[in-house]
Amino acid sequence: MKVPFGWLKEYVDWQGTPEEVADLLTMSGTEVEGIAWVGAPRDPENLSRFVVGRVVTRERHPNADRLSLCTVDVGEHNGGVKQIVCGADNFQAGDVVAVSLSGAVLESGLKLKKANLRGVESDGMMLSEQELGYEAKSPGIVVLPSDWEVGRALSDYLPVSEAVLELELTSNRPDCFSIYGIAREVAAASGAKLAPPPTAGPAVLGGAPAEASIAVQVTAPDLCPRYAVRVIRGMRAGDSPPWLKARLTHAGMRPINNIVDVTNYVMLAWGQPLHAFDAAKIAGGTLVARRAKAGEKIVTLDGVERRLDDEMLVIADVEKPLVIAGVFGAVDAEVDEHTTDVVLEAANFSGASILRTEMHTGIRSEASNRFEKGLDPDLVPGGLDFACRLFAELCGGTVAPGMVDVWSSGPTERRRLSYRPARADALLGYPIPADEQAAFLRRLECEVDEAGSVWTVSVPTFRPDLEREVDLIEEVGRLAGYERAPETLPLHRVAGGLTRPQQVRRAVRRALMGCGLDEVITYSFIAADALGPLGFSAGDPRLEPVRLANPMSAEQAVMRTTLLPGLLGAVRWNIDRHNEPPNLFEIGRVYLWDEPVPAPVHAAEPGAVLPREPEVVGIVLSGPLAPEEWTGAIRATDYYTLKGVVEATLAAVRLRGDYAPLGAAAARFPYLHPGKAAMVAVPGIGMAGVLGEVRPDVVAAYGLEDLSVHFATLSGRLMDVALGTALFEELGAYPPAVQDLAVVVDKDVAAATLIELARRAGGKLVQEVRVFDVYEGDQVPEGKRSLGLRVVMRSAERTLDEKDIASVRRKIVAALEREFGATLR
Amino acid sequence: MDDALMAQLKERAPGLAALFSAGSKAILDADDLAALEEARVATLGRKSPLVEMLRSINTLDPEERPVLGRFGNIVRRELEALVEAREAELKRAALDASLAGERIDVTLPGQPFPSGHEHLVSQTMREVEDIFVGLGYRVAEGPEVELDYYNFTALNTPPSHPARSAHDTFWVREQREAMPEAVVDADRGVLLRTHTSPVQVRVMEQQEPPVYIVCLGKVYRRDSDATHTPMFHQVEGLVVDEGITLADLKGTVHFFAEEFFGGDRAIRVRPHFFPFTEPSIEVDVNCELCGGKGCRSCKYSGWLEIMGAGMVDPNLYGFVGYDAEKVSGFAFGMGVERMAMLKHGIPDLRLFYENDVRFLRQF
Repeated sequence: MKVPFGWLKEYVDWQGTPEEVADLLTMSGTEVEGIAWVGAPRDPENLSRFVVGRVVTRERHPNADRLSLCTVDVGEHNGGVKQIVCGADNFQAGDVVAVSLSGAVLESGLKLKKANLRGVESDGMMLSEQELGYEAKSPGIVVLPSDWEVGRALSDYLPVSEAVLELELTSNRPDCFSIYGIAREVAAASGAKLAPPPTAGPAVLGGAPAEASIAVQVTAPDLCPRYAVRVIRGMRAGDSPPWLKARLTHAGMRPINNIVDVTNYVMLAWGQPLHAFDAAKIAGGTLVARRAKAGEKIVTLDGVERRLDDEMLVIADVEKPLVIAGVFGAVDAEVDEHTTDVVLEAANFSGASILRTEMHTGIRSEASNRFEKGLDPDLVPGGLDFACRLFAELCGGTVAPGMVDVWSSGPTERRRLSYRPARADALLGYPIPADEQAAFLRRLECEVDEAGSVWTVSVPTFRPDLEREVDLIEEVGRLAGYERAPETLPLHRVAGGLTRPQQVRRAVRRALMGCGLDEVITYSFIAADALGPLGFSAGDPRLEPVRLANPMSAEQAVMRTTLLPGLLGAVRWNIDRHNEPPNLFEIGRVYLWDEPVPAPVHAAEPGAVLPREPEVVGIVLSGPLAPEEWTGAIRATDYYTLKGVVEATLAAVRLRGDYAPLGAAAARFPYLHPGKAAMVAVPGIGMAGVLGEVRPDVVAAYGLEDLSVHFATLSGRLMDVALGTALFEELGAYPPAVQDLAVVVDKDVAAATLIELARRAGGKLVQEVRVFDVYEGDQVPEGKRSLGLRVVMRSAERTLDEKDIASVRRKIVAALEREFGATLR
Repeated sequence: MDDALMAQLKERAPGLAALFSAGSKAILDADDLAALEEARVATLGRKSPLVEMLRSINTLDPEERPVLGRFGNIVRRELEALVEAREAELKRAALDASLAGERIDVTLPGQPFPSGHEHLVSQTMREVEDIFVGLGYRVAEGPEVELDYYNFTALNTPPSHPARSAHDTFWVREQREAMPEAVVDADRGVLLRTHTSPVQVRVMEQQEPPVYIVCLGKVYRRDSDATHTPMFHQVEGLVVDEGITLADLKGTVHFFAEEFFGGDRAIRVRPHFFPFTEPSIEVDVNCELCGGKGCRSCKYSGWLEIMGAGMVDPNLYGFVGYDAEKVSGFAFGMGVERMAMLKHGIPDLRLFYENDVRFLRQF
């Protein structure tokens, strides 16, 4: 909300600067986001160059048909009569005008100088409303009331320069959505004197009573606790005076005409939204506050036809709805330039209902923004009186006696709360003297009965947010100022720490970074069609994602069921920006309906379920892990690179995987190359993930043609079994013996099988068997390959001799030959 | 050989003295290893006058024998030491000469051991976790697809609150049921959590006070611009114990601000409003970039808003069965990306989710 400082000062005796009041408000809970200075630059010297003048003579410019040559009296102390050339023609000799003298700097930054305009000297400028900042565009100069004193500073009458406070209000304080409400906050927080409410009614009433012109019926009292109108006759619609336009403009509203402007002005000042109906356009002389009929239509002022439903309140006449109550008017009964008689509405609508209507129609207005917070019904009569006075003063209206007031909810009682000042001390953490607490509450217009240790506090009706003792404690705390509270730390009785899964997550992340992979975080939502290219078969739970009812875009319509599309998207982003093909990982959740999690009965409808959210580690390699550099060749990334990364990651959390071809599981991972993919099992949880080359057609479907991509996904269940305690093993005092064997076997004999057999056959002296060479080619028969196995033997008791070594070697060779027909090369 | 010994030698065995002088000169004059070997053979070899003399010592006059024997051996030891020293000297000189010829360009880059980078959000969350673990907190987790009950109702958010609208909150369509696109309303009760606060409620349902937890994780709101992404991360803290006060909250937050942002940081506490805390506050930390004078980062206020916080609203205790007269508590919440942006001077939130490696590798 925008609060012009000059307007605020009309309601509270504030002696400080705009910056000081901004600080006061911010530190007492009404956040001031900034101060905008509008109008001419604010230094006093500049402002003294804006004065009230009177046109003495007006003649045609000798050399220009469209210009006039004027003499303007700006007062003796401002230099007497000035010669001014002017392009406007909406004025005549004798008019009082706004003049900026030579040397003045306007809002636009333009500095006025004596100028020669078509051969005639011009000393100063007569200002338009546009130049004063009150209108976006104005056809001529502004003609001021004839009783304004010539020579006086213009700023005595008009805000030539104004500080506008930009407030960010919270939804629990409907009372703050008005200038007077903010003035009340300033008074409460500073102790400054608050002016009485600006709601005095018109001095004179006349004509037939209001009831003679209008009847009111409320058929939906739940949505409309109070509906009141007054009648004003004989109005002349026209322009508002400059001061009113200035205030509306500074507060962020556009001046329209004097009748509408008054309703807006009163809403801004007092917080009660008003609606002016043209009495002549109300069919049957009756206003009805009723639920809309389902499917009923209304054309709102913006020309849009809106469909209503029966949860929405409308204000109708006997024929048709005229207004979506509290939200937006229709063309049918609006005031216009021919309006003379006005029925002025001030009502109280259910905040929840207004909010719902806003959501369903998508309309929000200054009025609905106030109603949705839940206003005080006691604002109604003041709002009507205030506006009626202005109608009489500014629009020539005659206010009819009486108010038609349907107050279904009846007068609001002041809420009475118990309050323990000691409880405030206990919650805030420092003592505030009881009499000071009582004074703070009284500044908020509470009545306080201080008898005993439990007080009774009665709360003003404009503070619906004060419902409990703790709400009053907050008021006392904030008015005392939170800077008064000391800083302490709680006295702990518990110890902190990370759970094992949380530690594993960190270790996995460190391991993957150690392999040279960069961590990414991709959006949890993906496009519904992003899963298509992965080729899952029908019925796969990964094809049944958690769908958003109201996604922001089709690209973010469903929750991911696998990390792959997001990771490929991250690869693509980098490729598209000419970065090297990246190697990335992500640790995040996927969302699956396959085993729904039942919701606690107290928290949801019976039978309600949530999806499962398993955590997954996703790894994607799209380029070499080491950059190309001058010392030598780079290793191209292949399945074994990926496997190395997976092995290193598992090792970092003290796990060892067993790798096996996908086999029957291949159908569950149709996006992987069937011959270059494996699953990895881990003791304790079984299958812990898959790894392999992504099929080239899948890679291409994500816009990455000609890129070789490898992907691994590891189950978060690892976190439950990982990082077990390592137990010490003897180092061994005796040296190892190493034997290398080159064995030729059928190509499809898995290396892991050979190693396992060699270990078993070799017996307990074998410490390790590893592959140090793989060869296929001319030196071995077709369909075979040669594997170089390095066998490391060691005894805990002695140095091994030739006999021991030969015996182990013999046993291994024999077993390999027996099982796989292996020959030595 | 020191001067006294030399004088003695000259007096008692002038011949040996002459041999020594000549030998040592030859050794010291040798300027490569071959010349040194030659000098050694000439001076100390089997056929050298010194060795021959020592070998034939028995043939000498018995009177002279002890003197010549003793001095002869001294001279031999001295000369041997000279050879050894000269050899080391020559070897070192030869190595120096050869090393001087082996020169590399030390400015070429080293062998790379590329290390990956932790995403800045993960880093920031880890730092925050560590600070609070140090203060005795545990790290709690909870679902991202959440019930309206935990996200709003049990956090004291009225049914008509605008945060619940389809405009602000992502709602989830009922499981496996094709819903017409137009039907979007809040009654079905499953949503993407809009803050990490529902974890608070779930934890309090599960355990009795004292509670000292932080929850970190992804949250979702329907917003997208330079300072909003539809997914972001939050840290939420909750303490419920006997005698917890607003002063404890202030002390905790100030400690955190200094640990996280470093140095002597001032905090400022302003009243605010949240449905789940009462009193509610917002916390600012003084702007380091401008030293409080005002700059673009702090919107010319000298203060950076870092978190919303407050004393747990007693209504929440009603939802989880705690006694509001016995325990009190505080809660605070902050945006992880925002903290990282403030700390590292990052202008645009969207950078976090583009995952451009040029961004990732800066941190």
